[in-house]
Amino acid sequence: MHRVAWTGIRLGLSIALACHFLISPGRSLAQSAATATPDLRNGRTMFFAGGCASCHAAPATAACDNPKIKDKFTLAGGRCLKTPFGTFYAPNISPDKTSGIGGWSNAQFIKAMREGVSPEGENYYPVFPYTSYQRMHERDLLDLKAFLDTLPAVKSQAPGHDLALPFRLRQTLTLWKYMFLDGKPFKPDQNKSAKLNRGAYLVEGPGHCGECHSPRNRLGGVIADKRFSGGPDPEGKGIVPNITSHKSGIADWSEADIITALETGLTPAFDTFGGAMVKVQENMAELSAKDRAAIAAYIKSLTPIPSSVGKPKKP
Amino acid sequence: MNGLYKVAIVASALSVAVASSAVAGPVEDRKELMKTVGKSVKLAVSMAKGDVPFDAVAAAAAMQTIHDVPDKYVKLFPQGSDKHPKTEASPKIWQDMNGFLAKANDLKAASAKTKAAASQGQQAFQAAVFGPLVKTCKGCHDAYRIKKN
Repeated sequence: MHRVAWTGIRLGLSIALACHFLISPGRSLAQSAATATPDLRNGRTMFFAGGCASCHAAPATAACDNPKIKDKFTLAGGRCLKTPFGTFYAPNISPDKTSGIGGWSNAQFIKAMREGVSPEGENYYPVFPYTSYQRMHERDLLDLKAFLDTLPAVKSQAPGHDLALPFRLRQTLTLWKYMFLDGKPFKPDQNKSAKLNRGAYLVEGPGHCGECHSPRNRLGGVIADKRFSGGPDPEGKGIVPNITSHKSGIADWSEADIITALETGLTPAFDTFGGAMVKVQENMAELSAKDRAAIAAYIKSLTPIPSSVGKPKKP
Repeated sequence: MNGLYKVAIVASALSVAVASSAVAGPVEDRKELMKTVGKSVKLAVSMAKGDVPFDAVAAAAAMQTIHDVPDKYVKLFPQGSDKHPKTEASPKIWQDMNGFLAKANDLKAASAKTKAAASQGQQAFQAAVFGPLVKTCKGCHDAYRIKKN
């Protein structure tokens, strides 16, 4: 039994290593993007659209899962996310040069965000949603990095991830990425309005809504044709709802309802968001009204898909 | 199958059923209380938005209704009632009962504040509804509710 398992592991490793060398190193930084002056206001927008603080802001107390944070700009890390694969700890992304990302170059930051590769050449786990961030424009990523560099530098080392045995090998993620990371930047749809395209960019890119609101297969990849139809709460309890306009989703929400919800947390049923969506909504509230309207328009335009989770809604 | 296994399985099924029915009352009651809060929030938001004409008396009454819920509500969380199939109560409530009670108090405070704002006119009322009141709802739902539907 052990011999079979060991052969399997060696085979898997060989495949992973082969893929590592076969896959191209990724897109290079465009010359024009690299030299332009950063727009910190845009960086701030990307910071809130991307929800960086939701994972990377230090919890207020020693309890790593305390929803209360010290401050949304204190990105010392340490928050834990308990998933079926094990417990992940968000790293320090403050501009501290040793324990944070202050020493990173722009190219390294972009590679991390879009390819899920660290400056040491190691794979990040897709709990860091680079599968969505890969859609982000270079310009936006550079502005975001510039904005992050203005935040307080904190010396703090988050714990390493505590994962179940099969998932401890980062090399195997190369295979995962080969399957689930397409490396394609956002491409606007010429047949859709600027508003819809902006909404699509914010949702599919920095907003990474699909990462929580979609069902995943056994390997943890989003099931593409069921995107946005809801998924299990990554923390293992309860669900994340269907946000397509199917009757089992948000068919009865208008665009204005979505805007109100993003702005205030209030739903059309006069309930409020809960769980992780509270922080998402607080981030959405920091965006411009125009951007919220664009997000609402895009979400409302999603193809209705029957819910992948939860009990059927009452008619 | 070994007779003892059968007994164990039936016994555990029975105990789950008994436990479930024991907490069914509180679970139903607390869900009803939240629905009451929802009705008051609905009225308050409609007035705050201007969808219905602002009526200071009705607005204050709605806030009083909400204010009267938390004291009754927190008494409806017997141990083990998080296991009931219909509840959205998170086990965190019992792990951090002080925090949960604090949130209940927050709702009393926020509804009182909003009630006071009602006597100051529609603008003040609107600011309080979309400000401290909704924020308080979110604060509790964030930490202590598990969405199941």
